[in-house]
Amino acid sequence: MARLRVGIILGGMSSEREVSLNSGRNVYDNLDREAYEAVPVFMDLKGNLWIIPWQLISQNTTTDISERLAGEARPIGYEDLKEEIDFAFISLHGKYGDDGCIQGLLELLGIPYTGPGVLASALGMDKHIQQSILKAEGLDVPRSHVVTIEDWRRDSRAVKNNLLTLFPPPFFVKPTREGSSVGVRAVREEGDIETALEEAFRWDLKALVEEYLDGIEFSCIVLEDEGEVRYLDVTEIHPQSDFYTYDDKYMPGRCRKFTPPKNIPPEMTSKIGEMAVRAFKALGFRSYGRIDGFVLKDGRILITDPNSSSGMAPSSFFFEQAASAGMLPSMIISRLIENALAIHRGKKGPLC
Amino acid sequence: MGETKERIRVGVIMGGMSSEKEVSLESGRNIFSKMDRRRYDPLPIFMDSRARLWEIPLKLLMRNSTKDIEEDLENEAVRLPYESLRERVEVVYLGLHGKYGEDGCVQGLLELLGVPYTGSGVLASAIGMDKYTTRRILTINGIDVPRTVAVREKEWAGGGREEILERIAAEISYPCVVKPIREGCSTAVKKVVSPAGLPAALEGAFVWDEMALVEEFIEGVEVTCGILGDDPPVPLVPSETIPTQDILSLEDKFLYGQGENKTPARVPPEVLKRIQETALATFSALDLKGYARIDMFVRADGRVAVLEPNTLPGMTPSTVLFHQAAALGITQTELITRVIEAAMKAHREKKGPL
Repeated sequence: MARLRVGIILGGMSSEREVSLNSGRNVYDNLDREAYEAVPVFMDLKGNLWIIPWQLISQNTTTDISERLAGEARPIGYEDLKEEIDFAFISLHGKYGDDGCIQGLLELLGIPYTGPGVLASALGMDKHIQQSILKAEGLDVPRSHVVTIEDWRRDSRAVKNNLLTLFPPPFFVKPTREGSSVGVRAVREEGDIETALEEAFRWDLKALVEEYLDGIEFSCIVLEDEGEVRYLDVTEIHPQSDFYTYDDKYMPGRCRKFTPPKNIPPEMTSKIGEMAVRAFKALGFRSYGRIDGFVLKDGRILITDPNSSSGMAPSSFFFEQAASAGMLPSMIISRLIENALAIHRGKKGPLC
Repeated sequence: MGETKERIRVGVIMGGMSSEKEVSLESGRNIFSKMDRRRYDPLPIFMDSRARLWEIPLKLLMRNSTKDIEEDLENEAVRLPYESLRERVEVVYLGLHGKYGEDGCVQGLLELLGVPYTGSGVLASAIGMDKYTTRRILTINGIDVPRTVAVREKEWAGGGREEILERIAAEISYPCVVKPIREGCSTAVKKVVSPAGLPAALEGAFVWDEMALVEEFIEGVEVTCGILGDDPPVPLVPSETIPTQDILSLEDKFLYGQGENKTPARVPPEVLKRIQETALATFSALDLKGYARIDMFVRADGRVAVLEPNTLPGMTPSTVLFHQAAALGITQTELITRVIEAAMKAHREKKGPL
């Protein structure tokens, strides 16, 4: 029997393309070769697709890969993807990759893929709308406020005053639509507001200002498995800096992680898992997702950041929690693919 | 021909894969015909039932149905690989309606290609197509919507019937309206007067989608109001829809002369104003761009409830959006120009996808 050709899409145009390369490489390395044929598909900075040989996957950075594309890789048109792969394992992160854009393309092509459809992916990227939906579903989220670039340019004094009334420092400023803590700044005093907002506006036209949370951060992988949505496990995170940065997230050994949690009691852990499942369903996520949040000192559980995809580097939460549930990387990857295939078989029109 | 060079090349995409592809053909053809030739150089592009794009000659454009066009594509049209849009056009005018065209899929493709397009972005389009998500977001923003229960096919088929029927009786009661959660037109929309009619109506909706909505039947005046997404957005003059049957059907909306529209709607001036304000509030709450038409109901007590947004409203020659624009002195050509200009501006200023 011909093996299912799994295209692992990696790289991309977002600020998280290096993370994507790490994820994709690891998926490529761990894909069960008896069941699947691995086809590495690299998306370059212009959004063009290339089928790359295995020698290129092991390159250190997307820049290293890009330099060698012309000589060693094979360019393919979007529509030719149908001829090359039967299934897309989306290892892209950030804009264009897990915000509904590539999902839209795959829907047009009729290629099944991992993760949720266009709507839920796009929702998963917009922190503001996400939070309002979760709140409406009765889930606790941080207090937040949106500042648009127009408001800021028109009257920065008024914006500053308003923020200081709403949030006594410290607080956080983030772009509404970036992942991996890109563009996030802590504001400790009034003087920090300007640089923090300017940084956020480098990435998006809207910035989200969020209260500072004092507590234990967690991350929880949720899986749609044979039609049932369940959580794998909960990981407790102890960052080395005063908030969880891009480096903490992706540099091995930069933060301490405990799966299952050390400082969160088991009954609280299962409550977190149940809330993560509720958040997953409320946002219409499918296939899998990663729900991040905080346990506050007063015992409240807050959902801070639901993600419609997850990093899949070797030491990622995804594989750590799978291991804790007794699954090797290759096993959980196969499971994800089989579940995604079943999900796409049942859809009517684009996945919803 | 020096002048030709400076005109903006606009690809008008029509056809597509949804149940509304014939309407889309009418819209696309009209957009193509009415586009201001002094500013723009339009290119008719047909999306076939396999999502492939073709540059079609006038001869094909004037055919009666998408099927008639599709038969002769191989011989008469030029295939446009997705990537070629980058060179062939400067902006895309989306004449598509319904699934794949109006729901964020094509928008996602155009974002990947870096080609500007008319109307809303990926997220807003996808939300606009999903009536349940739309209603949740409008409710959060304090906008009135019909009371709604969402029913999943899986739950209905999986033995949850009793519980679902009880919920509907308690939260919605009868008569109620059953519809698929997404598809754009009035296909499979049924008015149900008693629990006995519910199974057939739900199963009819599940033909189209995995989720159906059961909503309260609103006794009131159905109205619709277009918004032009200039900076700031401008409401057009609201119209009233007079249905020939209980529920607006596909024929009502799209066959000439079958449905009746009155522009402006025959309601008191303060209600007219409230309709416009509600349409504007919806446009902004859903972060819509370019233009849209918001369908609403004026309840007996005067409150305005939002039924659904159309993020790529019909652009057929006698469509209600044009009546509403005409009431403000805006011609079809001018409306098309403003939609294109709004698109070019929004895409120039965006950071990442729209």
